[in-house]
Amino acid sequence: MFVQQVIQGLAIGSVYGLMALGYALMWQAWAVLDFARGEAAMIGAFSILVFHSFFKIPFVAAFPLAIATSAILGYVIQWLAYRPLIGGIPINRLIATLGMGILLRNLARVIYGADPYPFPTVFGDKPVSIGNVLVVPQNVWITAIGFALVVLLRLFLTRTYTGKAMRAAAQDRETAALMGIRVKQSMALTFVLATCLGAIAGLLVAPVYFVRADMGLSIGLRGFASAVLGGLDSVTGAMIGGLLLGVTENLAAGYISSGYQAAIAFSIMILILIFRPQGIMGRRL
Amino acid sequence: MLELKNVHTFYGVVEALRGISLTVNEGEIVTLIGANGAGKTTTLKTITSSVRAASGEIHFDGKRIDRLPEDEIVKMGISLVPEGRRVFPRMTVLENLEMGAYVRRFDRAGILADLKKMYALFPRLEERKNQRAETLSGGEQQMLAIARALMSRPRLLMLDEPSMGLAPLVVKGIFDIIKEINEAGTTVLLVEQNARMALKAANRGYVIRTGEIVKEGDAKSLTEDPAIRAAYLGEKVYGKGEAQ
Amino acid sequence: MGKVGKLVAAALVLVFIASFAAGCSSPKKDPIKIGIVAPLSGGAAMVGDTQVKGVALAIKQINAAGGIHGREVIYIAEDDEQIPAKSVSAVNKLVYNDKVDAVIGTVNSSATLANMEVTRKAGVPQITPISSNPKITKLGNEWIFRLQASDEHQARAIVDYAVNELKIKKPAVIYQSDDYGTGGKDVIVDRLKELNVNPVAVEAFAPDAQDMTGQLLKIKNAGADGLFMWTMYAQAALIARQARQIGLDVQLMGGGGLTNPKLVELAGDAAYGLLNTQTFFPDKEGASPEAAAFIDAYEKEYGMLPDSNAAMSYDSMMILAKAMEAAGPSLDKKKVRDAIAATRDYRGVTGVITIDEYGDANRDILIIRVKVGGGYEVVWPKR
Repeated sequence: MFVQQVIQGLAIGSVYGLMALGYALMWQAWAVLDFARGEAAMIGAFSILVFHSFFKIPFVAAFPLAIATSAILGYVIQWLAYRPLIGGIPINRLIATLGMGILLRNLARVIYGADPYPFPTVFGDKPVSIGNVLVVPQNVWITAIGFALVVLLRLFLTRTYTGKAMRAAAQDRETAALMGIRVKQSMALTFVLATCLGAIAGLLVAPVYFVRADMGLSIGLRGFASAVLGGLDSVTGAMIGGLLLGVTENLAAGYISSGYQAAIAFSIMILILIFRPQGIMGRRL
Repeated sequence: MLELKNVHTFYGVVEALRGISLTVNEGEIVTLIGANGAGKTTTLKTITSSVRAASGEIHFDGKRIDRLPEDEIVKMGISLVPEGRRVFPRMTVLENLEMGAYVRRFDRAGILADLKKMYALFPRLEERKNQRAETLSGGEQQMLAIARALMSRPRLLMLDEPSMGLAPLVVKGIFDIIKEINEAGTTVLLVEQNARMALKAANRGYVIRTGEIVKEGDAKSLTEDPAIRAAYLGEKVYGKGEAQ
Repeated sequence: MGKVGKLVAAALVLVFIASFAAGCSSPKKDPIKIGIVAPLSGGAAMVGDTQVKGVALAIKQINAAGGIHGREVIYIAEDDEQIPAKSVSAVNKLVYNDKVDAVIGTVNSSATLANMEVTRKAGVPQITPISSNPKITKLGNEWIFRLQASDEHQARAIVDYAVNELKIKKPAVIYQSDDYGTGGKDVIVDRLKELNVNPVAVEAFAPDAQDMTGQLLKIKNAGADGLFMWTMYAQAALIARQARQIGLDVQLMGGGGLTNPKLVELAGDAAYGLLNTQTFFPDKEGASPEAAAFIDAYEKEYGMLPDSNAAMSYDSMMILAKAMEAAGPSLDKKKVRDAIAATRDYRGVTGVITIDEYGDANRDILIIRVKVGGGYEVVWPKR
């Protein structure tokens, strides 16, 4: 049962990890805890729902379309609500993100209603047994895509000029501008990237947890917890934080008490904050 | 090469520059000296466009540049080594140098060649190229900041307080390198509180006080000016002048 | 439908007010005001919407028959988003601003538990059509009535069916950790003990949980042969799918909160065979004359079949109207309350209803099964 619980935890954990990456990117580039992060998942999930389920576009084509839609929406959102607050008081930015989250959730509710929508499984949800462990192909794909995206993101941030410029702008806006880096553009790109990662998380879980207007709330909260666990300034840490949270939640349900599943997971987060405030992989603050 | 004509700059309602005019000719080392808060850094920031001049004009190579965005200024060949070095702490030495070359990032071969040049100029940087910049010592960070500024192949290199917080021996090394860079053909505008070192290295100098140029001349005559000796070189010369 | 619940409801209110203003020229007397509190937005907006529809249909028929004591009836609907605090302010508004004569609502048990304090203090009769937490009628509040079979009745019915008919020996229980889920779980566990059956696992999940595989794995490892779940249809769909993914292949059973076409839409074939209790089922062939007439009228009015909530809400309004007639033209609230409490063998569209000493409706409970391919069939009582 232990192995089974861990395998289940890894799948949901890599989704948390993708969300956590968004928090980490936003923290670094915009110096804000972006509480509208979860809504990126909702946007991604509804985009794929519209393209694949309503317009009947095949998944392989609907997937990039959904990502592109999310990217465009992400750009518009940052331009509307985030960019005007650059350089302002940090608490204003924080409140703006909270407001944006509520706005997006309610907008989705008005457009799509409050009921969940089913989304067909793409990777297969019939379990396959390996030894005495059951593996759902869908979960394997989710985990694999999660890992692949972390590797790609790391490569992007460390191997390309655009990625390095994003890091530079995140670390020192003024000096980055001196290098000729267009900082606002770079920040917008970071936002779009974070939104795309969230959108991918959202459309990966769409077949598993359905598509609903308020789906961003719980997935966003867990992404935030994962980012804090792993360290807000580390890409690898964010992913590890996500996996850790996913596995802990599952083990807590299996071995301790399911009634306290969330409480146990968040207690660990609080313990980390007390004893290692920079997160597992984070730099000392 | 660089000419500021009656430049006024404001921070909110505070007038930080009150009509600065100065020129830097090709091949020179020009220094701008003055006390804390006199407007030295603001002058440099106005040139790089990180703050906008409210009035006045800035020309570089005969072209007006005071309305250009920051990246255009870098592309034209002006590069600044900011005060306090401001290396990107969580990027490696190599990545910091690459960021210096950001405006010419598609010139791969050129960048590789320049990296070699930088490593020749600053061998310590090559030894540490894969370390995070934050792990370097202050002197090494200053070398990195200068090398990073040079990576954009500037024709005018501006340095803001390169000696700040460094041991005297290290400061001497930095100034030697500045001279070396100048001899290799780069024009230098040097802002310093350490007026003695600055005037020793420079051809000409300007003295700035509360946002105005109060004196200019060749380095030698400024060094001999008793008022300057009193105010900026730390010598107790009593008499007329502008001791503060 | 249900997509813009709030707008629809607001539009309905306007339409109704407009229709009275335009159509009924005779009445000079003030209308009788019925306050509706329901989740018109948020996760249960669809249920709130059918609640308003059920009451509205009843009011339409009452007015067509001359109103109550010759007075027309209107309703005012307030949204509570199934949040207890919002539910309290909604009922406060209805009672003190709109001065309604009675309140119908709401859906969510926690919200009803909170808002029924307002009507108790103000002395306004309140009927909740479908809040099913047993506590609601057990707190000594004599102003609250319930038409839904309480969770207690429902849970006992499904447990009895599982143990007596299906011969389930090692059941497990999974429930959402709020008033609704915990209340249902307690009754299931108690009833199982009364029948000398020990649950092999009792697991909770947060009301916003998406991943229940940890709990389900534990249940699978405990060797369960049946699973009672006390939750709403969306999470029941998740449970059904996740149970299948981890190879937990047992009879799934639950309460009235599971009856919804969305369950099959979301869970697909994983929901086939699921059993749950129900008190109303829109099946015209097997329906009583009252129910058949209601199903027809509802379909004609709204172009859709009524769900159990619509039927319960319809019956709530009808029982309220009958009580108001009986209480006399003064509409004294205490007398109306007493008249509701005196309801005996009322033949409603949801069956024969008798209000018991606690304010609960005593009624028959059906057990229905999700058919292969979707749709429901009644499996208990046997025909």
